[in-house]
Amino acid sequence: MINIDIAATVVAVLTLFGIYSLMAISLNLEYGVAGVPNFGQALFVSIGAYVAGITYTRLLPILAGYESIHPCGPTMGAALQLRSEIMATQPVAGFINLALTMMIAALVAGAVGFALSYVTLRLKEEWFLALVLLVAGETVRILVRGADDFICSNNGISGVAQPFYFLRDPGASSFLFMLLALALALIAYLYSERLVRSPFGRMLKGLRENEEVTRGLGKGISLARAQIMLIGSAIAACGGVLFALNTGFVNTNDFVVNLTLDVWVMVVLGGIGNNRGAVLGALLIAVMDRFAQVGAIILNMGGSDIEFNYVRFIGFGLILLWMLRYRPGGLLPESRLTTDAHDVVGRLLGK
Amino acid sequence: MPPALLTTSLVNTIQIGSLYALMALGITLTFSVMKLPNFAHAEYVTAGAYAALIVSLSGVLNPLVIMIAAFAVGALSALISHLAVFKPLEGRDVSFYTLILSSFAIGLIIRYILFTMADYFNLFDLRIAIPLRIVLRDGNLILSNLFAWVVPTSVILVIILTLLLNRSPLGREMRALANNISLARVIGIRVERVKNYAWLLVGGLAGVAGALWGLQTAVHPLMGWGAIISVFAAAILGGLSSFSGTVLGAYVVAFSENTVMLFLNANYGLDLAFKPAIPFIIIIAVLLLRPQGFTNLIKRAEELQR
Amino acid sequence: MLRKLLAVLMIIAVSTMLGAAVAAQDDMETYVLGVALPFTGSFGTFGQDFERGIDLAVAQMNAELEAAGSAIRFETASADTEQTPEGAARALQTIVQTTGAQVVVGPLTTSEVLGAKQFADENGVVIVAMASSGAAASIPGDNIFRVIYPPDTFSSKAFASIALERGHQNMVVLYVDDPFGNGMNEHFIKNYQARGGGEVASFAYAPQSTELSTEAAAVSAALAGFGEDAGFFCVCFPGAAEAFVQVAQIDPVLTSVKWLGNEAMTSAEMLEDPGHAQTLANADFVTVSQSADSTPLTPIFHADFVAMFDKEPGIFTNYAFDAANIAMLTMLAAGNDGAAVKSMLPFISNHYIGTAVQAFLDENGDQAIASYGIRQVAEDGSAFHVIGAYDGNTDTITYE
Repeated sequence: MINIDIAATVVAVLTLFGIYSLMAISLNLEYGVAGVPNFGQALFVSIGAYVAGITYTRLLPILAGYESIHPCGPTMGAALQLRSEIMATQPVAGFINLALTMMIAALVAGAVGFALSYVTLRLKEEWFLALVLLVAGETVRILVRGADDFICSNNGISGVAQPFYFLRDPGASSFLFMLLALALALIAYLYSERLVRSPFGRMLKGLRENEEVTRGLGKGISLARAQIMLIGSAIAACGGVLFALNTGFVNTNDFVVNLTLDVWVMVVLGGIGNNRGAVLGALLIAVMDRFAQVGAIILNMGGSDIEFNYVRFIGFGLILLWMLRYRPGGLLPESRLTTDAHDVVGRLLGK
Repeated sequence: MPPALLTTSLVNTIQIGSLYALMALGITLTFSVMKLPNFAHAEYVTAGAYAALIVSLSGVLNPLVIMIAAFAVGALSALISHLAVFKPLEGRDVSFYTLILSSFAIGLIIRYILFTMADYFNLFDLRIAIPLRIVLRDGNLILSNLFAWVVPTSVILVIILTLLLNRSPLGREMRALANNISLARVIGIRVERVKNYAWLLVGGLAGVAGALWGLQTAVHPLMGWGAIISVFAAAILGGLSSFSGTVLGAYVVAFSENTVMLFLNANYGLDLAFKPAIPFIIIIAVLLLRPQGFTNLIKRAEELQR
Repeated sequence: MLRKLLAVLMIIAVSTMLGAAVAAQDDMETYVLGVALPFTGSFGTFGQDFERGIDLAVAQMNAELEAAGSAIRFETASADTEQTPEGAARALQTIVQTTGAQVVVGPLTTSEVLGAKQFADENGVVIVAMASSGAAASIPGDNIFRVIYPPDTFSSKAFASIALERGHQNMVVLYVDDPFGNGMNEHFIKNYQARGGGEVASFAYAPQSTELSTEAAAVSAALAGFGEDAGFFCVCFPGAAEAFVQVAQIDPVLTSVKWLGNEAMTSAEMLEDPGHAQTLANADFVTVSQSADSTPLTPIFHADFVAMFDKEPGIFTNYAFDAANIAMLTMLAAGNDGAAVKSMLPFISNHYIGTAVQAFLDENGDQAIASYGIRQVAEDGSAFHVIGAYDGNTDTITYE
């Protein structure tokens, strides 16, 4: 029996859209604008989630005037109860905690991104960077699993509630959380649009197109790319905080290579080098995922023998291949910037 | 570290290293000839393992027939992914990352086709029906019939591949392609034909590796994907260009996962659950510190011999 | 092509919705039972098998309701958790927002259950998990019930007692590095040593491992170091279990000691390989499991399952069958309403005879009765036979 709750569905999909947008805008800045192939998106998203896991267990009780309880081992249940109670009764502590979480997550991820890129941008070939970042994400995941007290290894941290939990009304609180996610995505969008149009952004695009020319113009390449990694990683980590809050649970099992691939697909689908494209890609993935899940429910109710959830992945692969082959620029291809500087660079490149 | 453990781990190093070598050679070949880091390689391994499993379940237990079936299915899946996916992207000035994403996409498709099939016919976690026996036992040294199969097969295939590339006309053409594709075209090499052969070879080797890997473990649609990082680490150690370097890299990765891991566990209490991090750390270290891998070392050794 | 694909999907969706709407027009009342399980990923086999168990329970219930002239029918709505916590949350959201389901059977692992927890608690949806046993989800007052399958604290005691009865002075444990394996290892060591056991050497293997020769070598060396009266305890998932036995069968130490193992070691695939079967038989392999013939329902479930699907039920599939039955019975009693189901589920559950054990819940909503069958592999390796029973509540073992 299909009985779609349209309002709740729209809120859920738009919340995911906001979170995905942050990740896609971050990757678009890094790869689409600056040409840094960040295949370690899951790493930076996970940093945001881990920071949330730590602030909710160590910082939140102190903000609310309690002593913090060790979140793992025998006191796990008591610690969970304490943070649920605080989130339900002390909204101010919850909001301050969230604001601090966002800041710490952005700082930590930014620092990691900056440091990693500074080391790795010296690599011989650019795609090594892609591989190193991909591998770094998985390595960190395996090491965090093994660290007992960090986020309780593979038990994870539950009760990482979203800040409107105190309303005790799932409809209202999830609607407000959606607005929060969309607002943050909008801020990231406006900020990155400004960045792209700034001289710094145009320089980065020049860098992407032709390193030699830009180098010849006397721009510090490593530093510029490291800066964009700092900004991109910070945005991804904010997405990671919301990602954790949306589930209410922080666990290493979520930050696998597939998450990185999903973000890449968003950017490729929407249009590389174009923030509107990245946002469109995020919307498409959020909608298509729900659409496919609902399709699977309906087909299974119809009594199909073939497992539709496998077919879902085959379809996902086919759509990706189709896009890469016939619409390599994405649905919203990058438009040419019409600035003098761009024309100069373009002429130098002979385009 | 007790001597029995050392011996066993060295035997495992040779056995698993040989398997990694078979899988990694294909990655090096695709990268040097086709300029493509192919993540779908893992699925050719799995496809080969499933071919071997199905043949063995049908009652045919001749190892040669099983290998040939695995080779054929692996080769076919590689050729199809070339013709349907990679070839149309060529000559379109697509970015490197488009190629990487395409390889992920075709890998995803093959993997879930295998999932659908395995689910329909109930073929999860089964084993290729060749029983394991001990063929040699001398003190701590124990060799199984799997070892007796895996190591010679790998060695012979590696030798054949090296001869093929260095001595045969096809190999010369492939090397010409690897060096400079437009030049190869100018001097009259039928590039498309050579590429097709290269893909058949890559997929076939992966398929045979899958059949042997299926003897080492249980056959599952994710089995190739589970080994791909170790295999990539081996190919990267070989600088993604040298075959002897890749083979050496495969043994180094296997040695680190077996002997080094056990040594660290026995002496420093490092948890065995960290084993999957080893190939990752190798990749990061090699790319950062020595991106050419073993290639220069091997060249220097060859020069010294002359 | 993309447009065509989307168009086809749209047509399917719209036509099915219309069909469902037409079917719902008569006076029937349909209760939706949500099913959130990992259908993809390495536990995809579990998800598929569990879904069959649930389908069987629903088909039987609907047949009974029809025969009794009731207007209520059950229908399942299943979604894939992708074996990740966040995927479990999305699957639960989709099920609830698409069908209005108030009760969801699943998910599988403890981390998936915790991923689904926030949405379930906030929206008053009841989760009936059938196989999650990690201590991390033992939380009082929430919307999660973990029926039938008791926490591993019970079976770890049984394993410890059996190890001592077999005269093992020391033990070597190989366990999967996840909440289940970690918990089992921890409790086993505690109970074994509290009952007078000696040293325990434990080795964890990473859940994504496909090949376990390094681990087998480490276990073998540790056993050799302890000497002859040491025993081996394997806490492995299917797949890894087969891969481990595959490399262990030629190891001289591992083939000369006795083995204990968790229930997942007793999958049908294991005995299909003659080498594996012989290895387990030589090792006097013993497991402590719930799926022994401990209630009158066990053989009935087995026969019905084979009749419906023409294949053997996988391990744990009967727990999914039981969880679905408890969920449906509660919905029949309390109505299709999450809050009412939550309040009534312990009462119904405590009056339900399962296919493995009488259901009974503790204050955390977890199974509290633990009565296990002790099963040993036959000498020729053809099957697992029940050789005794373990009562977790009195902590006693009786042999037949």
